[in-house]
Amino acid sequence: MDSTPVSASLAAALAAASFLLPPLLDGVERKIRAAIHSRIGPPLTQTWFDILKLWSKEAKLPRGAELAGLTVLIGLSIALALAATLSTFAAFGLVGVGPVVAVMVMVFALHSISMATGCASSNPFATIGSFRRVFLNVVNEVGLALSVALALVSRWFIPSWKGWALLGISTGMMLVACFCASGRLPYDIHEAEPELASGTVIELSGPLLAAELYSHLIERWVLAALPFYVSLAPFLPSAWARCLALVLGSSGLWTLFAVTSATLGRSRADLALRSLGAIYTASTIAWVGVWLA
Amino acid sequence: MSFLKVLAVAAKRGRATIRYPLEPPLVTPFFRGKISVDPSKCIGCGACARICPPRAIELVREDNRFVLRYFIGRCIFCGMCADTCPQQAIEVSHEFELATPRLEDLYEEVIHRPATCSVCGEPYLPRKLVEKAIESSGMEVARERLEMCPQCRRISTAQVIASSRLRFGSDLLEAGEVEERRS
Amino acid sequence: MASVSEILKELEVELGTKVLNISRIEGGVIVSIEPSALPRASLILVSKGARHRMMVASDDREWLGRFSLYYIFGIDREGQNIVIHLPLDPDNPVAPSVVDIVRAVDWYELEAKDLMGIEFEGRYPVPRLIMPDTWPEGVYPLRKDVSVEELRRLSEPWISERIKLEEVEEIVRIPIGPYHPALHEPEYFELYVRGEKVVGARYVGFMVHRGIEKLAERMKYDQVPFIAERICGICGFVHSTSYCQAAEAALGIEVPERAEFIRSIMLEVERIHSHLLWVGVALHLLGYDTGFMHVWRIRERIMRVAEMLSGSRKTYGLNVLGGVRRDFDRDRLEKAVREAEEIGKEFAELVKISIDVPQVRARLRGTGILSPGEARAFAVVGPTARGSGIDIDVRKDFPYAAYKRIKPRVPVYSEGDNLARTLVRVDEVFESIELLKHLADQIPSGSIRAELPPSFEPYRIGIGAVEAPRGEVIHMVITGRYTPYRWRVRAPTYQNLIAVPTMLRGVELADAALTIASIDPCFSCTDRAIVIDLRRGSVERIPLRKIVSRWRP
Repeated sequence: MDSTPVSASLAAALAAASFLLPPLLDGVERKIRAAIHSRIGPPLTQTWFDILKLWSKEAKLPRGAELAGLTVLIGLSIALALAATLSTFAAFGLVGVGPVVAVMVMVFALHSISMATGCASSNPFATIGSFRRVFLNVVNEVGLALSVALALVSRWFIPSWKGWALLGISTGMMLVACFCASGRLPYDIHEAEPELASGTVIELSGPLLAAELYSHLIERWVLAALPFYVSLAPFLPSAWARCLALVLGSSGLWTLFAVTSATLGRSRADLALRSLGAIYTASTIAWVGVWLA
Repeated sequence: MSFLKVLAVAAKRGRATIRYPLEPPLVTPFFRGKISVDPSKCIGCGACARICPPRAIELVREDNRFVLRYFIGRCIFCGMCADTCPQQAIEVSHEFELATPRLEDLYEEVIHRPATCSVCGEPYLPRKLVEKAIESSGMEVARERLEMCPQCRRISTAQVIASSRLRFGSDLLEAGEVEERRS
Repeated sequence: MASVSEILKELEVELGTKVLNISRIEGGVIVSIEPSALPRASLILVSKGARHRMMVASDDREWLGRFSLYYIFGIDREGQNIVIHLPLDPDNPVAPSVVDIVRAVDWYELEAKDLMGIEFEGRYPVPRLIMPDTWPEGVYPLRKDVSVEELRRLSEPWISERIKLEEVEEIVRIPIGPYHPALHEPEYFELYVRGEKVVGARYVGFMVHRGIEKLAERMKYDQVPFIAERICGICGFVHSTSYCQAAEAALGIEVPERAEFIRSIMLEVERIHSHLLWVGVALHLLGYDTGFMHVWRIRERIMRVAEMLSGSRKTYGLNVLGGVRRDFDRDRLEKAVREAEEIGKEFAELVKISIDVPQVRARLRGTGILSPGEARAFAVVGPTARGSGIDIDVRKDFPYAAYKRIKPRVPVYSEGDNLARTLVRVDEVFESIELLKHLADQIPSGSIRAELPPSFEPYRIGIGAVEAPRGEVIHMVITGRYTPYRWRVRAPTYQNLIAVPTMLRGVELADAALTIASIDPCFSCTDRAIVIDLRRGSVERIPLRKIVSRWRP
């Protein structure tokens, strides 16, 4: 373990980065998407402006969905705590089973609370959006949990070739799960389908929408950093290396996700279920196959 | 996986959007925008007002003048007025950035001095239109009749007929009635 | 399909003395029959394969002393129309309903009731189709004794009454209601869903009935093309062409060939732009925004071509009675063809990419199916019909403009799903580019506008039809001395919309937007769907719906 003051300041710096970076990365994503669309696109800082603008607006609790106000704020605090925790764990080298499980618990908590936001609304669009999210999460959360668990198991076999192969398969699966969980195209079916008119977030506006958006972006950062935390950080010797891996890795993965999602169309709940189910089953079988070999 | 070729398409085509209004707009030289009426050529005949499908141009008499009023807010930029204008006084421009916070900006007017009736003194048509009519009739003798308002012209015609002792029926105007109107 | 003469003979034999008169018009015959003979007559026509194209109600009391209904049936193979004319009692106009026999006549009857006050016997009581519920009884806007001023007066207190009902303290005239910005499009579908499956749908529309037919009755013949062009922001030129053709047919005006070619060129340019627009929006509805952006980037080029040729990106403003206003020089035509060829190449590449996107493919194939039988029953038109295996196209069946000389190839797919309708449009883009080349190549020289007759003969009937990008547009004009006496417009969506609830049955809710869009109606209606969850046994409505319903008494 590194000396505590260095790790502590690195943890603080990484946490700060994880708070500030996601909206900028979203700006990058919007630029990338624009480039793929042959557009100029908004400036990099646009998402930050969006959040600040929404934040400065009048706070309006949706009628009949007052609970949503609470869940959004809980969601935001969980997201901030999650990013800070991940940063701290990475800086201090807490990459064992215990810390990973703790992080995953927080990820699932965040997902559940954001599902609760949609469910809190009586708006039928939100209801249908939430229904779709639950539908999707039933498969994807299992995939995410399974991939992380398999990655943890894979680590025991390292440094044999089998260990690396197993880790590779489970990390690949984790990338898919993280991509899907980040709510990008083609899996943004809970809010982006045209007939849903923003689905789960339809009743949110002003600061509530800003909070929801911000926590969602932090969640995306966590999901982009997670594969590096679980599969790479344990093999990096210094706090510096781990923190750098998280920042650079998450930025790179974010970019890759952005490009991927820009080349795809939107899935449908039943199609998504089928294709994700197939991917997870296939990778699990492959993992078990390699393990038995 | 050939759908990934879209990345190549995007790379090849570059950016299609422009930083309007910081960059000039993409109107071609053929674009039909707002019209402009040349006051020196316009004679106030009102042909444009009659053909204008959305009635964006109107010719109205206001107090002691005739006004050809063009309201951009109604204009559909078809250019029928320019096609119709016998004087080629209307030109179709490329202008299309016409939004404004002031309603008055959307009006353009050509003001015409009126021709006043040589008999009753009422303004009845734009001065230039009457001049043009006299000029194109090619007969100075027409001046006398064209410088009367339609009402007085009718009365005068009736008088001429009456004085020439041609009787068409009993409902012809009495000379006395005409005198009364003049005073 | 029987020929016109066979059908006429049969009508005469079967109806006997109930046939009052038979007269020829440009492109068809008018058969006047007694109202009571209509069911028999329509049965004969339908069984002989005639296609119901349009029905026009007209207040002909001024010259016939009667109200009239004109049922226009097309004999596609011959390019001829059989118009069944029903003279109705001037004081109590009643006609038998034939909606059981001719399914497609449904809306026309409702419309004739709303706008002309014609009663249809044998129909179950139905709500109003076009006029708002608050419209006073007994005021039928299209009757000649109702003036535009009167209609304006009648519609105004309505707004303030509503505001009072809403108990707004200060009466401010804010037009809330169907024309609200929150309602992208003043028409919507109510979708009844079970889980994610749509089990039923209902359409509510006609909130933007603008009364242009009435307005045109006071416009000069040459002014009407401009208002006709504004019926639609996407395919406006088809309407002005259709109007001009109807008026020209009625008045016996021969349009110079060059003008006909110019019309066809613009119609094809418009079709290319419209289909590219549609493909883009369809991809957007499938979430494939990258494809959407690129298709629209390509579309921008055809918009410039349109501007180069006509002076305007849309609402070209070229048509006038007897021809067109502007000539195209060789140079610009060649440039347009070169551009079109480039567009074709780029579009072909993009279509290949887009269809390859897994989500796009999966969601187009097998969704929103309209079987050929249903398509025929609803008498759908355009790509909607051609996607369901019905080989109709006005350009081919009732040749007009330059299509008399240059025949288009008409793509037909029989699957009836969203993919089939998409492919029909994609193929048509390429075909239009081909056509454009031929048209530019073969355009004859000469004048571009016919001499107009010194005066217009009143009460003559003309029919003009054009194959719009969305399907058959058909106009009928009854002439007046200075202005059209009656002008009836039928847009393709009118014919296609009634088939949408059938297409929606059984699709996933996520694909409903695309299925509605697949007939190419005005798009924004798609994001204003109302979702009613049958699973919970309760009928729920979105707040927008509440806004609308609150405005009903």
